[in-house]
Amino acid sequence: MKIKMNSFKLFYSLFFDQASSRRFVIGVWIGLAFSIAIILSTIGIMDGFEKALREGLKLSSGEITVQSQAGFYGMNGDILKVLEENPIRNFSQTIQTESFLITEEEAKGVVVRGIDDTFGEVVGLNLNLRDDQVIIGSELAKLYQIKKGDEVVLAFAKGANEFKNMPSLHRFLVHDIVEHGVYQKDLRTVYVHLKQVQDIIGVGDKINLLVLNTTKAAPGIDEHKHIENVIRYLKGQLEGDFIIRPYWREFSSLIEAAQAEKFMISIILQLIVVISVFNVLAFIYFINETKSKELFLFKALGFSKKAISNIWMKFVLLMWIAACLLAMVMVAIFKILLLKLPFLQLPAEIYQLPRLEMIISIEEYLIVFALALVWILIITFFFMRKMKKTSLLEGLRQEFA
Amino acid sequence: MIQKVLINVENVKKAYPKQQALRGVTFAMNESDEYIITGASGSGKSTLLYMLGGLEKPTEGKVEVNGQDLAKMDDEALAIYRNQYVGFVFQFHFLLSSMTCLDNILLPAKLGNGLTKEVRERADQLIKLLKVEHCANKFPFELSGGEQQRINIIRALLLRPKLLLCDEPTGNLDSENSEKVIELLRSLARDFGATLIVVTHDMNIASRFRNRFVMKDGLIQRL
Repeated sequence: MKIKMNSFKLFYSLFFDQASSRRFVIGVWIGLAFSIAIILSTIGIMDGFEKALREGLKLSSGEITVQSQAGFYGMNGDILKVLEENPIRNFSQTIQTESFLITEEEAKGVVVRGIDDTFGEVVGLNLNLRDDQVIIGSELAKLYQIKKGDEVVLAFAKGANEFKNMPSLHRFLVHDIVEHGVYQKDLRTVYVHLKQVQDIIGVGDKINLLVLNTTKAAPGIDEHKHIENVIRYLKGQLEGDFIIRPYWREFSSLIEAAQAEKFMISIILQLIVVISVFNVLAFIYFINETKSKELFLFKALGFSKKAISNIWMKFVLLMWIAACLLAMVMVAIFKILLLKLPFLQLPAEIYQLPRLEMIISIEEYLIVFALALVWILIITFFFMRKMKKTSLLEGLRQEFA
Repeated sequence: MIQKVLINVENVKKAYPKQQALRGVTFAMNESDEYIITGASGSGKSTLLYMLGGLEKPTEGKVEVNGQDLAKMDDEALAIYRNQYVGFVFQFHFLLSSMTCLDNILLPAKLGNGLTKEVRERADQLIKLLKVEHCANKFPFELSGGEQQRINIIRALLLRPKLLLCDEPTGNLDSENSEKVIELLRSLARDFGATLIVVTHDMNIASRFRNRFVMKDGLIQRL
């Protein structure tokens, strides 16, 4: 019976017999994994930011908002018919106006949302209000240390006909505190019952903002695409100058900036992957230098240059696989740390969101891993070509010179 | 008896980036004969030896072994040639410290066509013949210089090579051990029917060989 030695195994047992080699390769492995994890985390944070922002916006406006350029409008039969004929799941009539919340020492401009019981169903928040009650955003409550059951004063400008008059002041009881997850929304939003707002500003039963949700998109159709399609239908069917927007439009510049940043940062961070790949090559170079005798012996005993190159290629591929696995573990740890550690909290007044969750899709994992592999293969290929041209005998002579 | 020409080297040149190692070397060597190549350090004798062993390729010229031009063989074919046809004995032994001496001896077979019962038996015979039974399960660093060199020789002869190439085989040994090693190599090469080529700068050893070459400044001359 013939026993053929696994040359790969031999190579490895030989090269990792020294503690220095083992330490080196562990360092290289961690370095490569860390660089991959950094790129994944960056992408994950950007995606998490985008997703959290979109969800927060949905919580304040539903999927689609309908405003009229004329300002206030009544929900006539024509509008209701259009809504019925289109894939609209539910809708709510609201008023959005501005006001001042007056505290003992100062006044702050706020957005007053006049809502009824249907609004909570549309946005997915529990917002049950009676007359003389308000629900305020969590950041606003934090800013002025307002608690449930406290009394607040809102200063409204009156209806259009009486605009020149002094504002009217109204006392409300804080019924609840709500969190949308978007800093600006939580800092500036005050919910008041729709009927009461209509009475205060004197617009009868008119509204200025219709919020609505679409029915679920058909399988395989992207949610955004579906919403954009519904908006196109509505624009074509609603008579009058209506402004119809998807929920993400309000912070679209921020979302677009996040997408552009994600792309640019991912490109720039490829540099750290390249540096890590050079560390892998440094290890190969180190082994070639420290084990030149053994390599020479292998050649003398029947190893071809190609066989040695193949073993190194297998080694870098193994490093890549191991680094990808470790990077996934690192990302999982980063995810937890990002949510738990206080110093990783974002300045919400800048980023709109106080905390970010990392969201990385399988496609993004695969793209980042594949890019790292491409770098490894390209750089190793050129390195190996150069190594093949170097005379082993010459190197050996230099060592014993 | 007419001997067959095993090695035919014609106008071989070898240039390294900073050095011209061989400047046009021409000679022939017969099958199952023994040769010694002497010369000062840097004269090109080791380059020539490794070229005959298929470890280096000439920049110019022809290196024919058993009718095959090594310069025209590809990397894979040369690897097989080295494994099956050539046995190397090095000055620095090159025994792998992470393996026992027996594993070091069996390495060419395991890296090549595989370890067969026949090869394993031959290893045992050589170990007995060279009186290193007590070393078989030891690691190289536990052995004396002479013992290490004998293990090195057994490894070189394991696959019954046609060509036994020795690069300063006595370089690390005292004169008594040097003599023993050289005699051992000559007798083993004879027994195995291998062509023995020894490269050395030791003129005392050189005087024992009938076929002598000297190298100087990359050129060879038969003495």
